Amino acid sequence: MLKPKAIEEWTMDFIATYLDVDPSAVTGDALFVDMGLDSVDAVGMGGSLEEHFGIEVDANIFLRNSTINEMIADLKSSGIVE
Amino acid sequence: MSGGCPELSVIVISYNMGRELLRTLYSLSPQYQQGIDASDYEIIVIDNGSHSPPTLEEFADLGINLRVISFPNPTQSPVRAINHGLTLARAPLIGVSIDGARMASPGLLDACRRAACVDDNAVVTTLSFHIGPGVQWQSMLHGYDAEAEDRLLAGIDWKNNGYRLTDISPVAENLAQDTLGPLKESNFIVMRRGLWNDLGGYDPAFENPGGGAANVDLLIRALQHGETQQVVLLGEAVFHQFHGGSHTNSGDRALEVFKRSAGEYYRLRGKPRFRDTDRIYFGPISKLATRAYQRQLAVGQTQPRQLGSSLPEENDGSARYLSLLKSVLLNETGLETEVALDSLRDTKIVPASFWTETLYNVASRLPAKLDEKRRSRQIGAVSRNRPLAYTMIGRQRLDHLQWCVTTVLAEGIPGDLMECGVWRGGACMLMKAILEVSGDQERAVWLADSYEGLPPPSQPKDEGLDLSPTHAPELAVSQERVKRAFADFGLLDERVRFVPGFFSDTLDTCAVEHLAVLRLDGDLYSSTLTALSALYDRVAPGGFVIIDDYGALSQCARAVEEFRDLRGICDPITMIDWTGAFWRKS
Repeated sequence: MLKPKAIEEWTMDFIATYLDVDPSAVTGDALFVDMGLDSVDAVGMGGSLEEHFGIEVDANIFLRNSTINEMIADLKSSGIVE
Repeated sequence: MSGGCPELSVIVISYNMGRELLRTLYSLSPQYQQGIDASDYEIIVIDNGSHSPPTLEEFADLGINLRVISFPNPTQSPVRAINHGLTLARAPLIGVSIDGARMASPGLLDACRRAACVDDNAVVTTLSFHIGPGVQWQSMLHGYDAEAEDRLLAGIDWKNNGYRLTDISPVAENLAQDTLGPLKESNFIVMRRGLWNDLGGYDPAFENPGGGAANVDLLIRALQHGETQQVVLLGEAVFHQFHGGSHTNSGDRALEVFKRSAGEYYRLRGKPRFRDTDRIYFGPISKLATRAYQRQLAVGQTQPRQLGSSLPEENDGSARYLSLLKSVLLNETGLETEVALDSLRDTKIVPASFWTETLYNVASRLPAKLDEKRRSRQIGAVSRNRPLAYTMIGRQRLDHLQWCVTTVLAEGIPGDLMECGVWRGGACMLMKAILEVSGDQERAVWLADSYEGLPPPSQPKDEGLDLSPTHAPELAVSQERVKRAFADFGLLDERVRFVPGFFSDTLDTCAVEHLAVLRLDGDLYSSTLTALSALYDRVAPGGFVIIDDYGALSQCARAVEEFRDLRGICDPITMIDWTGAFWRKS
C-alpha cells in the first residue's frame, strides 16, 4: 500500500511544475482552485498519479476533493494509501 | 484547382464528419475568409478512416484550392494522418487543425499569415471556443446535441457574419487560467515548415483516440524549442461543432478520457509544465473582429449589439437607472459573494481562511473564477450554481428585451407585455421599469407562472426533462415572493398582473387581450406549445415573440418549430445569444 507522504510529495511537485510556480506556494491545505488548478486539471493530475504509482483511482476522487490533504484522506478511506 | 506555390497550407483532419466538415470548409473558403485570396492558400483534408470518406466533389463549389486525401493507414489517433498531411503541404507556412469539426472566424487565415511575420520562429496560436452553452462534454449532459447546434447556427446567419459565432460560443476550452493567460493547446496552430520539421510533426507515440494529449504535447514542445515565440491571435478563433469527438464530446466519460490522456502524457513526457512566459498578442485585426472579441472580454459590461438591437446610447437618468437595475437584477454587483460561496460547494470542511480572507478578497484570491462568473452572467450560462439574482437570463438577453420593449413603445405597437415562466420576476421587473421611465400609463405587465415550480414531464416529447421541484426546487418561487420583489423595487401597481397556475389551466382563459411582447420561458415542450397556442394570436403585428430556451432545450425548440409549421409562420427566427431566440410577428 502507498505511503501518504509519497503521494503528498509527488502531488505538490506535480502542481508546482504544472502551474510553473514556486513549490513553496503549494501546501496541503490550499484549495486547488486558489492555486489555479481547475477540475479538468485535477483529473489530469489524477491520470498522471495513476501512471506514476501504477494504480487505478476513480476520477471522481480528484474532483470531489478541494485540497491535497482532503484528497489523501479520501485515498486512505478508499484503501489506496495507508 | 491548382497553380503556383501558396503561402499557407492548412491541414484539416476529418473522421466521420459528414455533417461538420462542409461547414468547416465553407468557413475556410475564399467566399468566407477575408483579406486572403484563393490562390494564397491551400487546404488539405486528410480523412483518417471515416466510414464514408469525404470526396473532393462534395466541396467543388467552395472555390478552395483543395485536396481531399484518404489516409491509407488510419488509426484511432489522428497523429499519423496529420504527419502525412505535413509531407503533402506545399507552402512555407503550415497550419494544422487536428479536429475538422472546428469552424473558423472570417479573418483567421489572413491573421495567421500576418501573425507569422511577427517573428521568424513564430508559433501562431488561437483560442478555441465550443459552440453551445458551455464546453460540450458538459453541455451534452444537459441535452446539447447536433440538432440544438443546427438551430443555433441557423439563427446567426454565420455565413454572412462569422463573427457572430462568438454569440453562440461563450466558452473557450483552451485557456489555462484567464483570457490573457497561457493556452493549454492550440486547436489551430500555424508554424513555418522548418519548425514543423525540427519538431518532427506530431509524436506518433500518442495513440489514444483523438490523439489524446498529442496536441498539448505539440504546443509545449514548440514553445520549448529553440528561440520560438508564441503569437496569440486576438479577435480570431475556431469554434467546435458537436460531432461525437472522443474528447470534446465524451460526456459522462469525460473524466476517464481526460485521465487516460493525462496518463499517456505522463508516461511519455513526465509532468507537464505550462510555462507562463511572454506572449505576443496579435490584433486587433478588423473592426468586426474587435467588436466580437470585446464581447468576449467585456465581462459584465453592456456592449452594443448588432442586428439592429443596439440600445440607445443616451446617458440620461432613465438610461442609467435601467442600466443599474439590470446590474442588480443580474446580481452583477454581488458576484464576489457568489464566487466565494461556489468555492465551498464541494468542500467538506470550510477552511478558516474562507471567513477571514477569501470572502473579503475574492478578486485577488479567486480572480479566474470571478472572471468566469462575470462572463457567465453576461450570457446567462446554465450551471448547477444558480445565480443569486432576480433573473437567470443574462445581460445579453436582458439588453435585447429592453430593445424589444423600447421598440414597441417607439413604434406604437399596441398591447401589453407578458412573460410565461417568470422564476423570480427579474425580466418582468425590467419590462415594468421601462414602462415607468417611458411614462406609459396604459400597458400592463403579465406574469404567468405556477409559482410552484415546473410540472413533471407529462408528454413523451418532454421525457427526460424533469425540472419539477423534486429535481429543481430552486425553480419554484412563490407569487408572494415575486410580488415582494416588485414592491421592493417600487414597481408594484395595479398594472402588474399575476396569472397563477399551470399554463394549461390558465392561459386560454386569461384576461390578456393584446400583447406587444410575449416572452416564453417555460422550458418544456408542453409549456411552450401551450403558451404559443393560447397567446400567439393575441400578439399584435410588429410585436415580439421571445423564446428563452430555444437553443438550450430541444424540447422547447421542437414545440416552437411544430407551432410555426402548423401556423405557416415564416418570420425568421434570430438567435439573441446561445439559447435565446426571437421573431417579430409580421
